[in-house]
This record gives sequence, structure tokens and C-alpha cells, in this order.
Amino acid sequence: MTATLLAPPESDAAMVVLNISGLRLALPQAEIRALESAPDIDTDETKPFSVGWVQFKQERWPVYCLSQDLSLLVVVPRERRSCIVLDTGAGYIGILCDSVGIREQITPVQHQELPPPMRSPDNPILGLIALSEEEIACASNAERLVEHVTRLVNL
Amino acid sequence: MDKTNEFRPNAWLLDFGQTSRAAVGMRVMLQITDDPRLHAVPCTPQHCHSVYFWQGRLLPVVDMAVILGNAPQKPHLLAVAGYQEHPGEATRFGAFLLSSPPVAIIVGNDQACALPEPADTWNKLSVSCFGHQGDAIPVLHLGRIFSRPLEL
Repeated sequence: MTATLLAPPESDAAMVVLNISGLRLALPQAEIRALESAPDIDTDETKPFSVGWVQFKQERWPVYCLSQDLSLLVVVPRERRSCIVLDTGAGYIGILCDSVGIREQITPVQHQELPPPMRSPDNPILGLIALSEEEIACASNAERLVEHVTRLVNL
Repeated sequence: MDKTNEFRPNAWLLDFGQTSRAAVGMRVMLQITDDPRLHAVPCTPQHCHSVYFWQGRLLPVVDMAVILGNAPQKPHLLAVAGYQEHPGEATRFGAFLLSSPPVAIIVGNDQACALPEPADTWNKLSVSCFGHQGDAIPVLHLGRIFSRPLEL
């Protein structure tokens, strides 16, 4: 079992858009270390609040499953078919999602800061992206998402 | 004062349900939408957990009922508001959930009164208050609601 390394981004603005039960979560493509198939996740002897292990760089790393409101799930919904790998600084974690898409360019017009009344210091959502009139994505980054998962695991 | 303006509505009365009401100036209200399509944003406060796509912008949608300690309103009716933090600055926008359509009313300076309960909350969200049909109606300070995180 080997993780698939994603191609390096052609543009700084390239974003990966994760679908998590309808939530579109956008992360810089450069921050996604690998993309794995969810059925390849090892579910033996999981860590607390994790749902399995992903193999990356000759080691295994905990995998977490988030809901569409970004709370932790310990029972994996059937639609979670992919797993992205993020760098934590001290290692890696996997995050399950339903699907992964790549947006080569997000224009400044599409990208907005999170409105002030929605902000808080520990919010992993940093901004909003209007993909269309019918669809938005919430913008985050690996650092904020890892912090968020770590906070939930340590609660 | 121009006598011709004396009998023209100069404010909108907004209904947030459960007898919670407030007002904004006539020119603040830009659009009313039935059954708006709202987009939920995770990890946001309960009083402002969705946005509304309007004229190329994603506007924060505030539920004043939650701020006032009441049950959340059903998202059937939405009002888009525009305001300036300071004169001459660019217009900013936000949206309120409403429980019934806004009503145009006439408000005069002689109607000023004390804030209703919860007065501490209203004091942080309003610029003044007037009496209307026996009720105290706060006039909303939109900058405090839409331009910064809520601190109550």
C-alpha cells in the first residue's frame, strides 16, 4: 500500500477542495502531502478519536474523520472514500473526505475573508470562496486544520 | 424640518420573533428575500453561522433572536442591509433573518425612550431607542453587529 504523491502546484493559488458531506473545504494544494484511498486505511488498534492509520513515508499516521460541521466522528460515513495527508510539523495526519477536487486558480473576487461576526481565534475557517452562486467553499490551511483536530482530540 | 417629510416613513421596523423588534433607517434596507439559499459555515457562532450570496458578495447572516437569548428563527425571510462605519467610507453589507416582513414607520425625535430588556445586550447593539405603539424599539448599530465579533 503506497500513498499517491500529488503533483506540485502550477500556481500559488491552486486549491484542493475537499467534499465532506456537502461541506466544501478548500486547502492550498501545496499543503496536501498525499492522497490515499479510504479503503486502504488500516483500522486496527486506532488511537483515541482516530479511525485508522495511513501509511506515508514508511510510517503510519493517525487518520481522523470530520463531520460537515468539522466535529470529530468515530464512525466513518460510507461516503468517505478518500484520505488526504497533512503535515503536522512533528509528523502527519490523515483526514477523510468524500472526494477531492482541484481548483487551479481562485481569483481575488471569489475569495473573501471570513466576515467579522463569524471570526474567533481558534476558528479553522479563514475565508470563504464563491465557487458559484450556488456553491461556496470554506478556506482553511493545513496548520489551522491540524490545530483544530488536535484541539478536538485533546478536549 | 421639511413639513413634506413629516409624514413619510423614515424607518423600518424589523421583527425577530417572540416580540423582539428593532429598527433601522429607511435607506439601510436594500432587499427582502423569501426562502433565501443560505450556506452554512462550520465553527462559527450560533447567531451567525451562515452566509448569503448577494451581488457577488457573501454576506454574514445574523439571527438577532439568538443574540437576545431566544430560539433561532426559521430562515424563511432575509433582509439585506447596507451601512457605513464612518461617513465617506465604502458601504458594507450584512443580512438579518426576519420572522415577518419589515414595516415602514414614522419616527420622531419626541419618541425617544429607554432600551427594553435585555437592556445590557441592546445597549451594545443599538444607537438609540424610541417608543412605538407602547413598545420600546431599539435602533440598531449595524457596525457593532456586522463589522466585528460580537462581545456581550
